Amino acid sequence: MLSKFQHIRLLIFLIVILGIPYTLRLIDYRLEPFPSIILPFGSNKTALGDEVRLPSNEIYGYTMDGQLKKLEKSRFLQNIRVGYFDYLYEDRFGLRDFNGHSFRTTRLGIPVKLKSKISETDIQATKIWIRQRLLEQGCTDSVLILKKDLIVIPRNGTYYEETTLMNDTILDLY
Amino acid sequence: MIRFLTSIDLALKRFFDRVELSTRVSTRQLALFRIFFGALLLSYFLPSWSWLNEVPPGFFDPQFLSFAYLTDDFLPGSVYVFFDVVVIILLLLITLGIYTRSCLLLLFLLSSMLYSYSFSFGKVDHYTNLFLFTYPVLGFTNSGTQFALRKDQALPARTQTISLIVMGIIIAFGYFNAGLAKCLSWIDFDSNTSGFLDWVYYCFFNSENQYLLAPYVLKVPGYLFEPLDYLAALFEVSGFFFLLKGRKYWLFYLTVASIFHLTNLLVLNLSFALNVLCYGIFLVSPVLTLLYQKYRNSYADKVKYFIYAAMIMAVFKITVLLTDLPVYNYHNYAPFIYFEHFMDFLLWSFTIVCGVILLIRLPKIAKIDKR
Repeated sequence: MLSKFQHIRLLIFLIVILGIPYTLRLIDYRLEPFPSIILPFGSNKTALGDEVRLPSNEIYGYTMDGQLKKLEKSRFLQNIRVGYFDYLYEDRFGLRDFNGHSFRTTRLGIPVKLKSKISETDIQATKIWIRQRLLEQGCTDSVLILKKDLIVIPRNGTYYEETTLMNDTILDLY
Repeated sequence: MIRFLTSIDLALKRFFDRVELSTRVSTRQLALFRIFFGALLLSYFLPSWSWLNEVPPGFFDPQFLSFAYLTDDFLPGSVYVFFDVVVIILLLLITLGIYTRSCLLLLFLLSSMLYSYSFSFGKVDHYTNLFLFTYPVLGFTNSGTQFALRKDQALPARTQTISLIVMGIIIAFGYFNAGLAKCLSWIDFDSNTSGFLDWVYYCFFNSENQYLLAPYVLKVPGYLFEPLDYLAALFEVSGFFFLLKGRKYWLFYLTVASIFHLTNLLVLNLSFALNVLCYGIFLVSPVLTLLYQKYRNSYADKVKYFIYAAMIMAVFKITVLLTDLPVYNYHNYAPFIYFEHFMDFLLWSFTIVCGVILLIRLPKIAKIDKR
């Protein structure tokens, strides 16, 4: 009987490859399967006023003479695309406390518990890697400082950055 | 119960029949496209994962529902190098038409597995999503039964038709799910907010996409972008309408999609050029038939040179991988950013030109296919 209904079978196939991943993505972006037919949702909006103020994640180190120096993100990440910077920043570049890796989905509130993938050996190896990146940009290799700066864009488009002294996180690399 | 199922099946048949009319591509067109697909991947879009060797283990944060989540760390470096070489060989075989179907399906599995490691930094990058499904779609057509050194066994024509229907629905659905969220948020009739500018700012400041026209866009008054919010959202959700309306409409939609990508490349430096290999099934393959028809007399003489060129390209890529030379990797190799932008610009322009040619000369192409 089933062999007769080939269009119904095709529909079921499409629901499996398209519908289920899309439903999971709608429940929470962290449940998006890979690979799947999901394209960027990107539906945020910017409020336009006399000036637009955007928070910006930045990393700093101390130079040998004790000056604070902003690091170049692309040089720091080497062959990882800068597009991933904010996600790595939120993860404290692999050095964060991973107890917070469980979450409730944004829709339906389903609890999801993720395994920690980072061991103590991984953390030590990552610290060595970060230390090398700091030295490459002329900084001491003792700490990496995470800051949130502010980018201000007036109507004429000539933007500038405001450094804020709030929200600093200091990652100890030894 | 059977009567109920039959009526649903009939309704679905009407739907899929309409999609079939829009997505019809001949076996010869698919075979020529397979060569274009393989050669372009081998020479320019070649994926590589060996760069992951240099990533620190602490960065490993895989997507929950992906292959990478099954492992506790990035794979050992030699595994990536091994699969990089395997992928080059598989792409060479696809280009030359040797065990085409098996190679395409194997590439889908390998790429799905390996890309999940590339996207293990806290988010999935979407630029490969449509492209990845082009592998199995081409695999379930007869693209390896013509212009091939070892011809595949032909599948029933219905399988090829269904495969192309699925490709059409995949593209329309991909756009639809991206556009629906934008429609609900961006169409707000409020010139004090801008969705498009949010993308501009994100790409310019967060992703550091600051090339081509990107710096100039910041100087344009924000309210002028308001119509773009509506246009982009409505364009993205309307794919199914064009898919169901007929072939000419579907080709028109894909041509506009290519213009959309070209604009995104210029303004946001977001290219998604791998989608050329996906839309190309419908836009590029008929134009390749026209070119073949024009140069068919000299085709036989040139085949051996093409085979040599493809083999030399594969050997060159493998040599680079196995030595200390820097490995070019599409979308992940910063020193070639200008070259990539230039190539992506050319590819999108080429796809747009193909779309325009098709829309003008569709009846002639249909006639050639019938011969």
